[in-house]
Amino acid sequence: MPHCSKSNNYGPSTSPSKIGELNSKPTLALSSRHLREFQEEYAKTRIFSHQNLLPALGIVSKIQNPPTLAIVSQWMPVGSLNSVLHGGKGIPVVDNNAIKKFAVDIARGMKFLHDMQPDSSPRFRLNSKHIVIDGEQNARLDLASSDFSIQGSDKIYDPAWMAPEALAPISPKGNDFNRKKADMWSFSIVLWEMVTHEIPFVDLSPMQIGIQVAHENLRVRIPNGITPNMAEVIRICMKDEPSKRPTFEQIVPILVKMADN
Amino acid sequence: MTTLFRTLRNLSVKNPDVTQVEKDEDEEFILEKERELQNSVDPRMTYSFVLPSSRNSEKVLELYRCLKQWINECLAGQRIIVKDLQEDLFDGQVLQRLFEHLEGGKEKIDKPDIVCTKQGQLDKLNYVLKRIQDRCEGYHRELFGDDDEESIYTKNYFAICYLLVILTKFYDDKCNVRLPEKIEFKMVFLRKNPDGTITRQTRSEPMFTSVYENGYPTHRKNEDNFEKLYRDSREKFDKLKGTLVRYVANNLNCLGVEEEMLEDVGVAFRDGINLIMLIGQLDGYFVSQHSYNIPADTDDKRLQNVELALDLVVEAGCSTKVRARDIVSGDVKSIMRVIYSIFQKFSIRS
Repeated sequence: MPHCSKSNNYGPSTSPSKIGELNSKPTLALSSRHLREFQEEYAKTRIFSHQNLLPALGIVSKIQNPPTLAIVSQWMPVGSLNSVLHGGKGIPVVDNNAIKKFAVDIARGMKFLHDMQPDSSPRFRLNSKHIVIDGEQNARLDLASSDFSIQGSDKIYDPAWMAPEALAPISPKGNDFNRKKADMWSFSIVLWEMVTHEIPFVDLSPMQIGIQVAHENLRVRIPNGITPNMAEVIRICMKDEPSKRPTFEQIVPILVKMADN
Repeated sequence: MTTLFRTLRNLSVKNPDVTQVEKDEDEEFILEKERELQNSVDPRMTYSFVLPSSRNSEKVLELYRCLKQWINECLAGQRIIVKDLQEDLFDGQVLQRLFEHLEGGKEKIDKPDIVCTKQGQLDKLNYVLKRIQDRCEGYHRELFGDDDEESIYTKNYFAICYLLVILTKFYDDKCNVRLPEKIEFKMVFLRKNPDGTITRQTRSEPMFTSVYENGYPTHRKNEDNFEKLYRDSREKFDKLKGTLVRYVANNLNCLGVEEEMLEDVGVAFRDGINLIMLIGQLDGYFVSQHSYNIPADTDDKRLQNVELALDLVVEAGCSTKVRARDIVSGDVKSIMRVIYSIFQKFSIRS
C-alpha cells in the first residue's frame, strides 16, 4: 500500500506536506501555472529504472481549505539515512560494511542522475534527509524530496551539506557553479556523516553554517580512527577547488573496491 | 589625500562663480516675468514661478524624472505617453486617465475626452481635481488659495509636481518609483498692485515626498504608535530604538555583526542584508546568496534585497506593512516597524 512519505523534508514542520510548505510564498494562490509546472517537475521524479532511486508514485492535491499538495511514494519503514544515523533508540547501528554499501548505492544513484540530460533530471539535493533505506538495506535517493520551483529557491534549510560555491553569491561575471561538482561535495558530507555518526555543524544555525562555509572556511573535521582509504575519499571529494573533485563515474569503482575488501 | 584635497579646493573656488551665474539667471528670469505681468491683460493679480536655478537643480530634475516615469508606467496600458509634465497635464485630460487608473477602474469620470475651449478645459480640470480632493484628504488647497485649477492650468511647475507627489503618496501601493527626498523649491511670487507696481517676494517651498514625513497631512489617518511616539516623545522613541537594535545585535552577533555596526539604523538596514540575515537566523534557514545582491551598492539592488527581506518576514508570520522603498531611503520609523514585528513574533518563542 503506497503511503505518503514526503514529510519532514521541508523545514522544521513535522506535518505531512501542505501547499504552505511546498510553496514558500503562501501569498501565491495555487494557480494553474503552478500546477502545470509542478506536474512537469513531478514527472521528472518518476524514474523506475534504477534500484538506488525511489520514484514518486502519485500526487495528492486539494485546491482549497487548506490548499494541499503532497507527493506519494513507497512506504519505507526504516526511514531516512538521517534518522537511521541520528535517530536514537531502536534503530540498528550502521556498521562499517553498511556504510560502504550505502556509499556505493548513493554514488550509483547520483551517477545515474548525472548521466541524464540536465533538463530531464529532477533537481535532487543530496543530503542524508533525502536518502531512504529500503527493506533490503539498499540506500535510495528519495526523488520525491527534489526541489520544486513552487517552493521557491530562497530558503535553504540544510546548508551544511552544500558546497561553498553553491552557498556564496554568484561571481560578478555571472558564471554559474558546476552543480555536479557541488553534488560531489554533498556526497562527501554524507560519507563524513556516516563514518562519524554526527550531524555536521550540529551546534550552529543554518544561517551561521551558510555564511561560515561560504566565507569563513568552515569545514567538517575528518576524525582520526577511520580507515585511511575512507578519509582519503572524503578528502578528495571535498576539495575546495570544484574541478579537483572526482565525478561519480570515477568514484563508483573506487567505492566498490573498498566495499569488496 | 592630495587629490581629495585638490578636488575640495577646486570646488570651493568654483562654487561662488556658479552661484553668481545662477543668481544672474534667476534675476533675469524674474525681470522678464515682471515685464510680462506688467503688460498682460490677465486678470490674475499674483503669479508664482519656480526659479530656474531651483528648477535645474539635481533633486528637482530627479523628482521630475521620477514623476514622469511613474505616470508613463501607470498609463502605458492606455497607450498614453507623457513627454512634458507641464504641457501634457494642464488640461486635465491625462490627469483624468491617471486618476481612473489609480482608482483601479472604480471611478469613471464622465467628461468628454477632447475639450478645446478654455472654459471647457477649466471645468473639466476643476472637476477632476475635486474628485481627487474627495479621495485624497491630504490634498488641501491652502497652498494655492482657491485656484488649484488655475495654477495647474497655467502650468505652474510647483503645483503640478505637488499634485503628483500627493497622488504617489496616496496611492503608494501603485507607485514603484522612489522619489528623492528633502526637496526645496525656490519660488518667486509676483503681485500686481492696483497702482501698477509689482511687489516681488522669493521664498522656499519644501516638497515632502515620503509618506512618513510631516509637513502636510497624508492620507494615513491611522498613524501608528511609532509615528505617535516619534512625534510626542523622541526620548522614548530613541529608547525603544536602542532596545530593538540591541535585540538585532544579540541575534546577529554569531554572524559577525557587532552592535556598533548597527548604531546608525538608517544606514545599517537600508541594503536589506542585515534584515535577511536576521530573519533567516530566527526562522531557521540560510538565505541563498544567489537570491540577493552582495554588496548592494545601488538603490535598485538595495530595493531588491529589501523586497526579499520583507517577503521572508511576512512568510515567517510577522505582520508588517512597511514599504521597501522607505527602508531603502533609510526611514528609521519604517525600519523600527519591521524589526518590531520580528521581535514580537520571535522574542516570545526564544
